[in-house]
Amino acid sequence: MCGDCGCEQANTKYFEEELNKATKTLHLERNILEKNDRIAHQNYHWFEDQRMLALNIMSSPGSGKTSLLEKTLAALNTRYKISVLVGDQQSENDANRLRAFSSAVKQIITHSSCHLDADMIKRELDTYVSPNADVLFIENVGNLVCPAAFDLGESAKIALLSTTEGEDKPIKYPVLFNKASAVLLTKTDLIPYLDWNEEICIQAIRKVNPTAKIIKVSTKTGKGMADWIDYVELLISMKQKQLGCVKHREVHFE
Amino acid sequence: MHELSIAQNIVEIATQELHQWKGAKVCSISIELGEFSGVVKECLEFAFPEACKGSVLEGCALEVYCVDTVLRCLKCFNVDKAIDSSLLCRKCGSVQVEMIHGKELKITNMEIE
Repeated sequence: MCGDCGCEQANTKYFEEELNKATKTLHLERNILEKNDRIAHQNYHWFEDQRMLALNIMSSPGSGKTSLLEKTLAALNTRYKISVLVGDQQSENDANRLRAFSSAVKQIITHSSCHLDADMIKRELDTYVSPNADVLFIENVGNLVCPAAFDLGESAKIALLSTTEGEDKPIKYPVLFNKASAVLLTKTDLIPYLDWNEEICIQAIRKVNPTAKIIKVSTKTGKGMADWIDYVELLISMKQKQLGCVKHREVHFE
Repeated sequence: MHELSIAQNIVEIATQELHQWKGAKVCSISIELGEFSGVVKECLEFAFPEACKGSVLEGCALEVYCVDTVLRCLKCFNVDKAIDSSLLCRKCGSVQVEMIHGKELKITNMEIE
């Protein structure tokens, strides 16, 4: 009994129940993609050490990534050492198409996964992708959503947008288009047959990515391909000159 | 959808953290999700219970806090929310903006008992 007021509450363990149920809040502040980002960072430094340009090519399925790479390999494979990794859920179809232009093409079959991640790329570095390559083209799984969330350690992301997809895809899928260093408008040979407005499309890209380089290409007619090839060559030369003219790997081999 | 991979990463990180708290049970996990993180709240909420099955997180709640995109203009230094994912300065129209919020994809807190 309480000595002051005589009630029955004295000495009751008021908070016992609460104490037993006590929860603790742990402040973590941890990046959910930390594992992928850590591996991507390793990949990035591997590419830097080799002075290798790694381009992550992303778009929806059927917007012309493989056709673009066919023409790109044809234009560059006599002057540069090129490796290609192609991601798809199933089939070697794309790799088989590209093998006509380069022997260093590997298909990565992702099965149920809708994107390539940094670990899938890491497994190929120094094994399949030769340290002597000047350029690595990574053709990501055709998808405008998932590949955007996973860094691979690439030097730059390239987004393709075909004229048949309409003008407003960049607004509908802003994350992927926002991260691209360059946006290629593909299938421009079809413009006369489509209700496609170039100005509206460029406005849509600019809205989510005000500074991306925009290149119009048609792999069918070849129009604009020179601009794309010039851009890739500029990126290669920038990468190779980054730490002096002598390539790191040449120093190693001497 | 890649939200399942994201959910699996959350389970992996939470399991690591729980090692220090023997016998503890996770009640809830809070995460911050930026508008430009590339992850959709509803898809993540759908995938999360599946990723938790058979793990120490089974039955725990997921609290998702969505973070709006906030831009700082590097020309006029205006700080403002981005409307409709438009990444231009709303004051001066400059393209030179820095995204100070919107890319968040992190576990902030974990409540254990």
